[in-house]
Order: sequence, then C-alpha cells, then structure tokens
Amino acid sequence: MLKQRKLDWANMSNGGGYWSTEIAGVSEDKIVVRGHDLLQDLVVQRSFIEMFYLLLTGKFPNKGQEAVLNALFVVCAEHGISPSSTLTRFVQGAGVPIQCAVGVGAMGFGDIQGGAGEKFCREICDLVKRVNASGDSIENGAKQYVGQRKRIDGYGHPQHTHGDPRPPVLFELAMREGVAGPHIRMTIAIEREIELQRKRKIPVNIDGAVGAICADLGIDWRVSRACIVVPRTAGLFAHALEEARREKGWRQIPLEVISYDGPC
Amino acid sequence: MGKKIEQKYWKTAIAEARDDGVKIRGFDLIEDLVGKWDFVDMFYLLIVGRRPTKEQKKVINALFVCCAEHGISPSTTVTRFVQAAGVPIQCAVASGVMMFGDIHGGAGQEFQKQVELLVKERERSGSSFDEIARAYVASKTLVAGYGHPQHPSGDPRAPVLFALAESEGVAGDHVNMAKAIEGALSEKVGRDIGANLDAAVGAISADLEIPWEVSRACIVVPRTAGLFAHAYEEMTRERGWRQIPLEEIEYDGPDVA
Repeated sequence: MLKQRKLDWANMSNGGGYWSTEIAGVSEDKIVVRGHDLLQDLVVQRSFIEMFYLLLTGKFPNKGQEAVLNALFVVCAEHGISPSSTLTRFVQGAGVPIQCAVGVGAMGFGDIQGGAGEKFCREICDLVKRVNASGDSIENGAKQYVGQRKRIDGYGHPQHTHGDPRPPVLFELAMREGVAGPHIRMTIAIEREIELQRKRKIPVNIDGAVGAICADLGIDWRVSRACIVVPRTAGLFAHALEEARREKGWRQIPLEVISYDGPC
Repeated sequence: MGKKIEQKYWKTAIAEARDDGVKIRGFDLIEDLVGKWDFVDMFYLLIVGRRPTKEQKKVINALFVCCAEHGISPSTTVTRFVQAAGVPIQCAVASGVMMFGDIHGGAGQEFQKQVELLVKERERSGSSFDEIARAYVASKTLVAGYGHPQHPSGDPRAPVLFALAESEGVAGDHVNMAKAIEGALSEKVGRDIGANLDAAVGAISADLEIPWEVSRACIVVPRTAGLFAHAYEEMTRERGWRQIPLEEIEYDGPDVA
C-alpha cells in the first residue's frame, strides 16, 4: 500500500519524486499554480483566459493577447452538428455519464478533423524559422512554400465553400491588438500566393487560423489543440445535455442509409 | 436508397454552421459574439441559453479559475499516464476528463440534485434552512460534499467562492442551504467540517440556474486547461512509459501450486 506522506510545503519543489510537476502544488491549506497563490492572487483577480495562458506558457498574457485568445475561444466554442458533437450525442444517447460523452467528442479532434491546426502550427513555425535564418522575405518564403507543394493544409473548408468566415475576424482582431506577428503574416502571404499561382481563391480555414494565432501567441504547436478543445468542451456539454433531455436515447444510423457490400 | 426520413435525423437548438456563417442560440457568431462577448458569457449562453449578468459572469469566471488546476490529482495522473504511452494529446486529455465521476471530482452533480430537493422541501414546509439541514444531516451516515482528503482542515476553495457569490449577490437559497448543512454537520460531528469544491460547485451552479445534469461542465471545461498543461509537460519533460513502481505492487493471489 502507498504510504500516506505528510505534505511538507518546503520540500514540495525538490523534484526527483515519482511524480514531479512545475504546473501546480497542493498542500493542506494552499494551492500554488506556476508560482501564484490560487486563492489569494488568481481566483478573483484573473480571468479564465489568463489562467489558461498561465497554465500553458507559465506567463500571463498581455491585454492584446488576452483579447485575441478570448475571441479564439468564443469562435471555437461551438459549431453545430459536427463530427465531434455527433460523437458526443451518440455516446450520450447510450446513457453513459456526461463527462464520458464529452471526452469522446474531445478525442474526435484528430489530424483529419478539427485538430489539423497542430500540424499547420508546426509547419508555419518551421517556415518562419527558415525564412528568418536565410534572411529572406515573408513574401518569398510563401512563394516557394506554395510552389513546392501540391496540397496545402490549412486552406479551404467543406462546410464553407466560399471561405470560412471565422479566420478573417480573428486575424483582424490580432492586427488591431498588435498580436499579429510573422506567423499570421506568413499565413496571409500563403493565401495570396495560392491565389496567384493556382488562379483561384482558397481562403485560410479555422485550422490555419488557430495554428497561426497560437504561433504568434507563443503557444507551443504540441499543445495548440488546447485552443480548440478547451472551449469546445463547452459546446459538447451543451450537446450532451440537449441529447439527454430532448431525445429519446439510443442513436443508430438509419437502416436505409446502411449498405452491406461484403460477399454474399 | 430507402424511404425518405420524415423527421430530420439530427435536430439541435444550439447552433447551426452554414456556408456564410454560424448561428448560436439565435445570435450570429461573427456579428454579435466574437470580440464582444467573453468565453465565460459564451459558456453560459451554450448551457443555459442566455447571457449571464455581470455578477453571474464574475462568479463563473472565479469558478473556472478555481477549477482549472489542482496539481497531481486522479484526473491529471490519468492524463499523464495516457500521454506517456504516446497517444494524441486530445485523447490523453479526454481520458482525464472521463475521470470526473461520482466518486472523484464529479460529485457536485449529485450534491446539486440533493440541495435542490432540500430547497424545494424548505419552500413547501416553511421550515428554516437550519431545520431542514439538521434533519438532513441526522438522516445520513455520510454527507457528500463536505471534507477533502487532500485538505483535511477544510477545502480552502469553497469559502472563497461562497464569499464572492455572496458579495456579488449571486448566492441564493442553494448556497444558503449548503452553508446550513456545513453548520449542522459540524454540530453533529463536534468539529468543523467545511464544504469542499463539489459542494461549492453544486450549490453555486444551482444558484446560477445551470441544470444539475450538466453541472460537471463547471469543473470539466476549465480543468481541460490544466489537463492540457499536464499532457504537454509529460511529453516534453518526461521520458515516456509510465508504470506503477514495482515496489508498490503486491500480488496477493494464491501461490503457484
């Protein structure tokens, strides 16, 4: 059996234990998050958006960064009946606990649906780093990037054929708040290059917007999915509740849209 | 293909994504919400269907900040274990999310349901909060929502949240009832036993008119921020492959015959 150890605040940051973390420490009467006392310095004084940024980067955002992150959260919180909310509703329809239905929807943000911002963020960071190292311009970097690729992720959206309306609003706000840096500028330059080289407009989608904004906010690409999944859990809870209250339970693909095409 | 489906297979009153925009509970996402509303407003709109008052918003924000992180706890342990196996980050976070069940982290739901019943009983009977609380505590061997294994002298988060809810005028009958139970329980046991985070979330969620079926959202939505931080720390600082140390494992089944 695990021995109950008396928590010793002075020794909590020694490290070297089986579990060590620099995110938060909990003692009997105090909770410290990244060096700040949760109850004295954070709960009433800080917004949840500031808390989110603190947890992921170890710093507080400035006012502009907070405004942009807040807008990103509002934009990502809900998107109707989408692959992830469908999953949550299916699972809720089976009568499992609500947090499990929401957890399943959260898992749905993979490389193909909803989570492609991660790859975009990584690529745009690499591209900006390469351009900076070579002393080239953003425009030239974008020209080469588009020229070298057949398929460019982060542009175009199946549900919004004329362009996803969300990225332009977010980019405008980022510019106005002084948050837009080389990554957003590169993302816009690529959009322009696609139009020049391919002779048609394929606007940046929400994955591209999330990836570029995360990069300019200094959020590591490895954790960029947090910027979609954390706010979307709000929408997923709304769907799970609606499913539990309004529907009769037991979801199933209607038989008339299922075809068996294996051997007889 | 078979016969036409009379009623649409998927119906929702939450949101609609169309070619040219997104509609959420009667608002246009781009025109009305982005840049004007906060995420906390958005959360309340999605769950309750309307914008919170300024005071309600302040209390929800505090609840979110309070619930966003709690160190190495059962849920972060699960997230880190799963992340250490090398799965995608959202799956590690989702595993942690599923941990907020009836026993750990999710007990606020049951508490809210219970406290709503007690408040209704008070309205019906005309008794005082203290009378209802005393009768309730006397009828139970275990009163959920009070005490905390990591905070034996009382969860320090509950009083801070109750005080804010009171100063903002958001606290109502449910917070009053939760505090009356605290008093009755301490009286019965003969020492101070404070409300824990489950009771604070349940009572405040009730006074915010968030349905009890979805009160776990008040903990889980903000905690996903902490879970992502743990998943990220696990993948960037640890070497992967977590396992319970062998010296902590005991086989107590029959020996080989």
